[in-house]
Amino acid sequence: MTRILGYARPSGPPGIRNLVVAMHTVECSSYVSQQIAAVDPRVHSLGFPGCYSNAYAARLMAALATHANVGAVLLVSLGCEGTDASALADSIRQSGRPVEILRIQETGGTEPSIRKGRELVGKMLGELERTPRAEMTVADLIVGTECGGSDATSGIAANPAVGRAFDLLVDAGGTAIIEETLEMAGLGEIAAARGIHPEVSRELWRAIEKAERFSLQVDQFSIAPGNHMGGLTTIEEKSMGAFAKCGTRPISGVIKVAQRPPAKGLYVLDSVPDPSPFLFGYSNPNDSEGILDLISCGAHLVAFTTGRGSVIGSVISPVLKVCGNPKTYARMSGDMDVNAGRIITGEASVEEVGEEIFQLIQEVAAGRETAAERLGHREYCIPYKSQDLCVNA
Amino acid sequence: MESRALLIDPGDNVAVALEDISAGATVKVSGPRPSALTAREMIPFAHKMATRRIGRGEAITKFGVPIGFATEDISEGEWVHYHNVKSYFVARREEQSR
Repeated sequence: MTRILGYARPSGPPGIRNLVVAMHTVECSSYVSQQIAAVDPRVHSLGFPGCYSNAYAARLMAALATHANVGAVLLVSLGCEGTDASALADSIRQSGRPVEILRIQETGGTEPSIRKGRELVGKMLGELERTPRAEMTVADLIVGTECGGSDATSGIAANPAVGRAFDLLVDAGGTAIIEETLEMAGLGEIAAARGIHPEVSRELWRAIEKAERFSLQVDQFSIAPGNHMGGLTTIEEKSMGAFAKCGTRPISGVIKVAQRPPAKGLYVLDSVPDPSPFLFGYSNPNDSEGILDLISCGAHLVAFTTGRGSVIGSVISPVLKVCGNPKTYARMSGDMDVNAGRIITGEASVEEVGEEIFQLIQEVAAGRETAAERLGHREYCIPYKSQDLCVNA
Repeated sequence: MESRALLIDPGDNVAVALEDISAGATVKVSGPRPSALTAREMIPFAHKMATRRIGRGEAITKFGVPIGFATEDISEGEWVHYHNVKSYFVARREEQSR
């Protein structure tokens, strides 16, 4: 087993990266935040664009700011937005992490704020150098999975291979999270049969039915023209292919955005909005939003599968890309970490590629850079959403 | 010329093309129920080909589960895609909105 030397936090689980987050609390302060983050690659800039406060977004920001991979936080506020930067700072402080608030209106505009912000972040980076290290094993890891730019190879190569890696992870005592209840449309019965006990099966049914109702309401089906071109015909077909990512082990529970899995094992993340007078639109407006949802639940890293091809990474946690289409891999190999296309060409079995992914998960946790990290990808998306917390999690 | 396709589950009635398959090509189907058949038309890489005759209204089975139903009679070796398949999920939705 690979030795993983993580970073101990004052509270909560240890991380596999040691980052400072510059978090803007409204779009108006995003440029200043980005300019502050530009001083050092260990500073990640992210935030919520909305001016009107949103309970879901506030919870998500607090979860991201106290993520295991984050050691210190600078909140970059304009000064008059709805999101309460002081309350957010309080919750970060409670986790024991250093936190500062920069208010652009008070600091005197762009240039003084960037100057002051860089100074604060510089101090935080200095403090992070002294972070105590923590011995971790694969059992301490939380790994998320998500797919995007799918084609029919995703369902027969990349997703079953990640499913195999998830089986190995769960068997080793680790924690795995699959997102996308929306992509379980039509699979209620099959998914419910995987519940570890009857209450979990009922939760899975409820989550999938909610996702189906939501799809009808906003006319969103997670099947895109590119999926059709790639050979996928129906949402059921895509659902089955996507569901293969979570492997074959029992499902321990359903969690929601910004909720940590209550125990080890395999969890389904319900990121679909709950019924509300405010209907903010699509459940997962893009792949980066889904990845960030997984990270908000504590995912140390995310295995992202693609067939048509994707280049994205993420803020906070490494994204490990698994490509199932050998032609896409040949064209975009610089963006990929695993060539699951070898299953299509007959060069490797699902089991072999699954073991390779499981090994790579441990190496990335031990510090090895993913392709997206090396290339500097830092995509993220925090939309408005209405969601309550899971009662049972 | 021989081309390759994969049948995922023994109960499936469609195989996935592992390469672009030309019309008239002999297709070697690997997987749990190996067979050989002739492609009636061009099947693009990763698209589906019927491994037997599928009647109108009959389920299209992949991964061992129904992924939709045939909207017309489909012959063995024919390309199976949204021109001759409909989603049960979408059909239910249309029924509910009527």
